[in-house]
Amino acid sequence: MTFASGASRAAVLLCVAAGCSPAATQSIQLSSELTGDDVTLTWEGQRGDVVVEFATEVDGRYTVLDFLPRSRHRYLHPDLMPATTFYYRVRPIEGPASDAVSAVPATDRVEGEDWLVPRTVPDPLAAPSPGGTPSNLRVDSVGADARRLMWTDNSTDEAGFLIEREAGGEFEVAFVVDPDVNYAGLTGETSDTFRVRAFHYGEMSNVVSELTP
Amino acid sequence: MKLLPSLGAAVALMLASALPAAAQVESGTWTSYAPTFSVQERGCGDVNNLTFTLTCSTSSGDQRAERRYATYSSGTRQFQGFFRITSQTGTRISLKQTFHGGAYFMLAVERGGRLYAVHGGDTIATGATVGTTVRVNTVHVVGGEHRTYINGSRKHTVDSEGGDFYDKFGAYRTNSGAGPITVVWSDIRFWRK
Repeated sequence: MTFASGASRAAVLLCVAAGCSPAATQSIQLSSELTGDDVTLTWEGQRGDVVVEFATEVDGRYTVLDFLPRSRHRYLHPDLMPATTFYYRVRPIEGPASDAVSAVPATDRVEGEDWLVPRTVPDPLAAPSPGGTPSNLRVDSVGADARRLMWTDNSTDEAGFLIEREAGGEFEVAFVVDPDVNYAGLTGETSDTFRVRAFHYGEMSNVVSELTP
Repeated sequence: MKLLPSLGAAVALMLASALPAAAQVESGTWTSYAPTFSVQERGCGDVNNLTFTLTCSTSSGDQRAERRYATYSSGTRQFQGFFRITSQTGTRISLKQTFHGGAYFMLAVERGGRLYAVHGGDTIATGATVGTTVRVNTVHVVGGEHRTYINGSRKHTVDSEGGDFYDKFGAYRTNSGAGPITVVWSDIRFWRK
């Protein structure tokens, strides 16, 4: 999942030209610290889960480093490319989640590997609307470390769906799929409880940068 | 810490306009270049621009869909590209290779998202699952070493002797692997110094 950063660059320059403070207008305040060839990011002001992204050009292409739950306020980006300027931003992940559902043994026989392919399956139960909540999540256990998920896509404006596993009392992102997908298979997955979020991105943080030695 | 919005307006505008269109990583004077390439489709391999597909689950024979770039034999070369696996039911597929006689460095992916070096089997990174975009930078000092960065972090280093080398990327069935897989590469860049 990558994102162009033209909007952030324009916002930065506009803010600079106007002499405003990003901390006064942005809900997430991002800071960075360079130690050796590691960058540590910390932030405050988020109200939910976030995605951390980096680029190596101010108007370059951003790449997702991680999706993090709301309890996390720190990210370590280690062993970085030398003599390179890294740009970072954090964006809130917003959007409704389905009910959490626990896996049940599959009732059908799973052949081959086609069950792994994320796809859109016709669903007569779908009631699409902007910001609609995924429903009817079903999680099948098709092996010791294999799960198959199906849900009803009720949203028309999602950036994608996050398949989240329960871990330590909260949910973390296990898998990301494209908009309109309502079926996915996971391997190497031993968790039993999942939920699905139709997500979109909230207001991004300020952009910070560090030049590695 | 450097907070970009704290720069003065003039400085920020000068910085924005002075930046090169293509900024490589690591130090030194790099020159962007566009090496020639040929498209290789073998077995069930299919190439459509930067979309590379192995359509079969055949676990033998030559199954590949790749770009093979021009040979180089001196200096330092840098490759940058982003890949996104859009469908994968197969496993142990090589996505990026540096060739030197045989395959000298092969970055491959297992089903589930583990990236590994085919020679030696070392895990390079995890998380290259279907739908996730991964950034790859390689820096090859001919006669020195070959460094691989995944999402900006150094993950693999191997010594390099001199001689002829070339880059390949796409989808290639390793000896222990099989498709199907579809991988989309984007924003491919090369530099040298």
